[in-house]
Amino acid sequence: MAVALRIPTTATDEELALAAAAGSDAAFSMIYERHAERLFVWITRMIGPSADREDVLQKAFLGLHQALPTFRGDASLTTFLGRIAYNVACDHLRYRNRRPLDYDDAAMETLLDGRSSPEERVHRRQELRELFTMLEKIKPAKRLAFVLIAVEGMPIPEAAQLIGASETVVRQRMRAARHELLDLLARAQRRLS
Amino acid sequence: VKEDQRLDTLVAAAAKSRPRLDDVTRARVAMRIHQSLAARRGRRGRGILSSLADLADTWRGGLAILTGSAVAAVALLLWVLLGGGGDDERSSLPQPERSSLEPAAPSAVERSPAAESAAVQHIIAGSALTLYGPVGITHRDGTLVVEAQAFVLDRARSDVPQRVLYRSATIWVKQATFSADDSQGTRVSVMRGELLLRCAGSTRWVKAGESVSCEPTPRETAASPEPERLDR
Repeated sequence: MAVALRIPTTATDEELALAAAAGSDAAFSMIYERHAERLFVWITRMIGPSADREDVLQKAFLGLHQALPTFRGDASLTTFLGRIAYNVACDHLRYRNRRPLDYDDAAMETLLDGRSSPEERVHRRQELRELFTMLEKIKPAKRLAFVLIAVEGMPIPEAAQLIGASETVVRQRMRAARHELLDLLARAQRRLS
Repeated sequence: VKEDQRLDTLVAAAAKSRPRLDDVTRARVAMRIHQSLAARRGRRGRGILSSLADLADTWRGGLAILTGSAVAAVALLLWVLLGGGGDDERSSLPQPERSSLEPAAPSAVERSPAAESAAVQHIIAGSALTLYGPVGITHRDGTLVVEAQAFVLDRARSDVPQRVLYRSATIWVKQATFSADDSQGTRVSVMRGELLLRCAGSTRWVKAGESVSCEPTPRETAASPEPERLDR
């Protein structure tokens, strides 16, 4: 049964999680309001600027709702939610890798800062398109390790905790992804020359 | 080396990217989440979720064609309806169900000072407390603020977690029996069930048979909690 609790604006994430686990819809809505933006940025970098980001965001929050009764406060709610989002993104990429995306300029435009000049925007769009197109060719586990560490700048221990693998494994995935990306760049360079 | 440099440039460009979750997308995803949750619950009862799902059904078609200020207005309205903003202190949502252990639990501030060294018993908001003096207890907005050398709290099964403030510790309990004392810092010992304890900057679950001591801090020597703690 849903329980309506009065939630103060100053409630911490842990308090909200507990209230939401007890059935408070207001608490769950507040968790969504607090974390949706940051998670959307994160999901975009993990799976690319495609339309299915909304689906992944939705699935991540539904997964959170289901997993909240198991939330013990050992890690922060941000980490807990990040782990769920990682798993959802990984599953999504595994499914999508059967039909890799072809990104267009419009999709890349959504990633750009509105203050940059037109020349700079063209340049940035090309760079982003090149990177995300190459990432589509890499296995999801390696791709996500690379994105978390190289793009997000997450320390390896933190990434390992989030992925649920050892630091050695995460480091290997990261190196393998970088190696494959360098290989793809070299091949593209050869084709051009 | 050339490819290395190029890859670093591309990665730097991705790190600088600023994807944005616009208001319409945010509201649309929120609606879909609530619809899914309502469907999961099988639309049992006519709670908030069911009402939101009905609203979502009604507005879903219209949302796609809204532009400009109309979009912002709808997004704001949805945000408020979905409980955003957290201004729930003034909201008209129904109160949580009271447990059978709750004989006219006080909804406003109630303070019960007791004689020094006396053992005092209370039943407040579904929790049975025995406090060892000198004691004082305040119940406001669902939070129990306990002042005592030691106390024992027994809470029967309830869907609503009880928040208890004691010295430097914050405790959330749904179903448990536990004791707390301040003989060596703040110590919480659980005899039955489990509770969530926050103290000394960390939050953890304490289960039956476990005892946790928070580090003593200068605040713990204060005679009573500050008034602002009651305003949360």
